[in-house]
Amino acid sequence: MNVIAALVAGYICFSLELGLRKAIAIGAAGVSPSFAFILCVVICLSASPQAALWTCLFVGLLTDLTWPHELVSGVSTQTFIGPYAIGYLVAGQFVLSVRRDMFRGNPLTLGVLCAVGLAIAQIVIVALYAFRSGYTPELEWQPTSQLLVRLGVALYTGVVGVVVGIFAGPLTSALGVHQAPQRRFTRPIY
Amino acid sequence: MSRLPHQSTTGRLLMPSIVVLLILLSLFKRSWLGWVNSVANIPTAILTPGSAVVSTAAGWLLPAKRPVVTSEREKALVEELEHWKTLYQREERNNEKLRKQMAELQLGRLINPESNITQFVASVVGMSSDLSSGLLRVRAGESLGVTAGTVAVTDGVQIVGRVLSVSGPTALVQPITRKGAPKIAGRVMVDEPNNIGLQCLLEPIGTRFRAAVQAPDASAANASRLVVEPGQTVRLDDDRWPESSQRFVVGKVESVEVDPANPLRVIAIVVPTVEIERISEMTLRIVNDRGEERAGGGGKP
Repeated sequence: MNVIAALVAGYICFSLELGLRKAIAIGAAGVSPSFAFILCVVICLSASPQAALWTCLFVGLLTDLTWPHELVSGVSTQTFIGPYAIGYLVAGQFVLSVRRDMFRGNPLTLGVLCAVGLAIAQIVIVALYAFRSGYTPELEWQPTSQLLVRLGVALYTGVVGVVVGIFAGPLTSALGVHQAPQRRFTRPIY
Repeated sequence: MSRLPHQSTTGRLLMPSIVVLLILLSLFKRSWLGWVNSVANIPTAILTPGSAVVSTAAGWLLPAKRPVVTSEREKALVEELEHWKTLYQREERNNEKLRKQMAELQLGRLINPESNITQFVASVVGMSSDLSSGLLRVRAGESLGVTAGTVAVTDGVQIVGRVLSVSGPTALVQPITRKGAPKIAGRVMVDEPNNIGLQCLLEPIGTRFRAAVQAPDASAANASRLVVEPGQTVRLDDDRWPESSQRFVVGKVESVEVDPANPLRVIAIVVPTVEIERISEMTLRIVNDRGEERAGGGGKP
């Protein structure tokens, strides 16, 4: 994988994610897609497992660090580290485990994997924060409503993932990730 | 996890070690994570320029909805009208306050000196990365005097929110409508020309407020005329906010219904005059007079 290209792509994705959210958000809950996670799935679909997992971990860590929580007191914020990194890592492992059985050339593949992968990541994130809220009274956390909003986010990301999937070929080439030719009737022996 | 054959022992152990560390960090007590806020400033500072470009472009392409005005002159007149209304309302409140202060002075207390406000426009450069968060990041930092509790407004008098935290060159603003934001005490101006309003408590519910309006005093002469109706302006009347922001506009009444649990109480849905989450810039009002800030609940949201 071309690390510099991946860093540039990551910067663009985070810029889109942080800057475009308010413009394309849907509903009162502000459901909007995660461009950074789409990049993770694109890399997970084609790159080596190590590169894919490190990317997920790095992107998740950056997401953690750029999310300051409002505390119940309303007078300050606190950044928590870990939940997104772990959630994205689990999602990345999921994509790695199913990618052999997917038609990577089909844009729908990216969309479906983005939706399902992000749903898995969000379940992990909500679970970790729900656990934390048990002994962090300053953190207001309503798991059910959070999960519903986040599943909406996963669906929206899936839809955007289909659009990105159309350009996935040039994108993977630019990122320098290896995409092995798929075998139609036999599975490769590892 | 797949493993490459040429990996060393250190390489094989690195990923699981980091995962274990992250799991521990994600479960640490909040008091042990104070240092994370400082670390988080680094990626935020790096990512802010990119998100600012995208945010500005998005603001041009999809501007926030504002009341329809046909011409520049009409727009100027509307703004001027709101400006004078606000000044009038504030003077009324100041008069009331002065009367109280005079009484206090007789008891030997000092009157606070007049407030000194600095205003400047700050552009919205993005939001926080979590998809369910609604905090707005603006390009204005400590060097400009922004502190936690600084009030943000738009269109001159529409309150946007208060600064929650400042990190280097940027600050996070918590929109007043954000679910989870503190409740606001306001006043529904049922008879604005005569400066008559009904007290209400505004609960943020996302992009609008649910306001429980206090019934007018039945003994008042014109109590029957004091009816909450759609279109009426709701103004700030909350001692926890700085004095200089009192009587600023919180929003307009969109709909009214009788509280099913208490038929004597009215529930109004109040909507800000602008879509707060989609504005591209806002005005920050910095109170130079610390005395006033203390009077406004310590200047904290």
